[in-house]
Amino acid sequence: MSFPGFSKILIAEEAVSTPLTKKAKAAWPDIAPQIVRNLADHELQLDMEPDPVAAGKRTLALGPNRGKFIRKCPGTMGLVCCNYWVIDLVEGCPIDCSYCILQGYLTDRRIRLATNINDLVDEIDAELAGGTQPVRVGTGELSDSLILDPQLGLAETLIDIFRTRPRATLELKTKTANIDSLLNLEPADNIVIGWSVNTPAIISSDERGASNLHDRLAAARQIVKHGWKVAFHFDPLVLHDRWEEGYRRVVDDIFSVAPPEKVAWISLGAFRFHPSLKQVIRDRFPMSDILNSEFVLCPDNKMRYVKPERLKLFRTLKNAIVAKAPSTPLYLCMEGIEIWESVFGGSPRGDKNLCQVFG
Amino acid sequence: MSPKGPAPSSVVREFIKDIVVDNRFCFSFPAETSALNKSVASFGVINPVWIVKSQDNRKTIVSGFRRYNAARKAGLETIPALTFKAGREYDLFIAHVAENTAVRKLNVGEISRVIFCANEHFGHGFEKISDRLFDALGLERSRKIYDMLLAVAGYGPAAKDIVSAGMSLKAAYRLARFEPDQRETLCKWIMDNRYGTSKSSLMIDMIDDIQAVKKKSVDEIIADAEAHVSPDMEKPQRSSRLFESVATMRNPILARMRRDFQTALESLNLPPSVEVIPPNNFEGRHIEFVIRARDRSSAISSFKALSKVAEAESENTESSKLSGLFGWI
Ligand code: SF4
Repeated sequence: MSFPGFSKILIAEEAVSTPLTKKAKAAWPDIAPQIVRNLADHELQLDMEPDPVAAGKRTLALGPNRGKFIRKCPGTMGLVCCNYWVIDLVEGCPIDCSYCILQGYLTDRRIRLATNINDLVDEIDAELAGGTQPVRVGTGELSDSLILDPQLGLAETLIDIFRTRPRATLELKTKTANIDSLLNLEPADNIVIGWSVNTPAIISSDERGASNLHDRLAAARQIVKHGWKVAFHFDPLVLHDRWEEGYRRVVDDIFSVAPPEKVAWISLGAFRFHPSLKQVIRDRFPMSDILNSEFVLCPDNKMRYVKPERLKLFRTLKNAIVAKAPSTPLYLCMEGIEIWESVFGGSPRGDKNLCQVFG
Repeated sequence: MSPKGPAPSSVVREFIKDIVVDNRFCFSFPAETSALNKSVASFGVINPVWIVKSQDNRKTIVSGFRRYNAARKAGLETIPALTFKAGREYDLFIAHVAENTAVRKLNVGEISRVIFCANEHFGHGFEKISDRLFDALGLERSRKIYDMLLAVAGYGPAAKDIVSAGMSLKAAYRLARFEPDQRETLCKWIMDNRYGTSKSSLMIDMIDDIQAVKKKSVDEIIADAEAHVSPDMEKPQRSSRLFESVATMRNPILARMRRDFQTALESLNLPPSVEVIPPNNFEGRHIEFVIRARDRSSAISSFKALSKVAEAESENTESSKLSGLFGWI
């Protein structure tokens, strides 16, 4: 069975003849799709399954998105906002990371694919009208941007949309090596291919179904060679055995495949989770050590490593990255200003590299 | 419309000595209540129990165990009963559960026992059980909940005592991660220290984490905590010190930050009317200095005390005591 291995495809009546639906049917020819009047009436929660999260990952639901496609990443009071817009074209993800917030976050556990892409284009134009500030847009918030690309070619569609809208920079963020379609396209200045990276130890214990580090970086190398810009996200940074050495090596590996001038930005985010995710991780990933550290509850109701540990993580990574690429924009995810100041000696406003990225 | 369930006889009086107990139907925990015992001793049993009569005239009680026990204790000879023909025991079991849930909220220990009985004694699986029993028990139809309840049903007596004392299913299920003997040791220790439900849940969580992080057994963790607290201390105070000791084991860095902060604070010698509050878990940017004053003069004396600290600080920037308070930022 090829990855992602769906066992069920549900199609909303009104989406039966959309191009995306046709592609999906052709991509998984062995699955007889079930045509339904209302997707919401069918196996939303999958609570009768022994592992509803895993069962959701095996069900693809295609239908129009009735809500908004684009939302500004809401940010959190007291944390520095990185001014990111999110496009929800796919919700749900076939990869299975222990720390994934989607395990507890989505009320619909299936992988939902919006078939009304034309509405997305209208919405993007409406959002971009009347402003001049640069904005960053990504699709990797509620899914992996490239996980379904071999089958559905969504990257090309999105790139074509944004290529002619230079005010926005589109980031396709992935943990895969699914770059074949991108190698057939003309690179564009406002498109960035981003990789979430981690040490091989964390990838193998906590990122089921994702490509290994070697494959991700080999893909990044090809992408850079082809002329695209890339980005890297150390998120989540996890304290584990010999993490310092492990992460330093990942930094070295990154810059061996991508020269600093080709790296649009790098982000650092320490492992954080809503308290309710703890039991989910324990149940679904009994072999994971990711919870075996000292965490405290933070004002945004998320658990984080106790402050000195977080600072150690960030400083180690920052030093390793700055030594290789002093002018590559580097930022922290979901951290308060006091952590920024302790790590960088100032806020993002004072960093000219970051001003261009954050807008 | 007549009900589809098994039809009972009208109420008859049965001799208590002739009645046998079918444990498949027992889920009430604790199994006795003193209030009921007293009432039965004074007024007898008012509500009939349910009896199943087999063809060989064997009389088995399937509902009303607490009333039956109270009647025996009170030395009554007979008890009012509704009798049913044998053959539809599972229907009776469900009716028995529904009767109970209509008048009281079952605790997690009892709910888990109901599910266990339906599965183990009546031979039904998840689909059938969730179909007919989950509604009666007020449960969401979820496989996960079913699995959790079966896990809780397998706990030993000490763990059952704890989870039946008002713990939520989620909290109760955390105990499933412990080896059975370690679970019993932990629960006995928690009961011995008389922690309430929320402190018990927190303790279970902390010890579970310490086990995973430090690779220590429950016995070792308890021994470590005990070693840090004098055995001569009075119970409530000792229990709370033991709790702190476990919390320190779970979060040693945070405990050290708190200690350092406290040491720095004490060195400032501030008057008791001034409280200095760091952000919760030191997550934030500011310390709050709170002055409590009853009247004008107590406010003035607090201000004066603070100005003294400020003066000393400005004269002595080299060995500032005040900056000790900000070491965590
Ligand atoms: S790749 Fe991202 S969205 Fe997918 S499971 Fe992992 S964390 Fe979740």
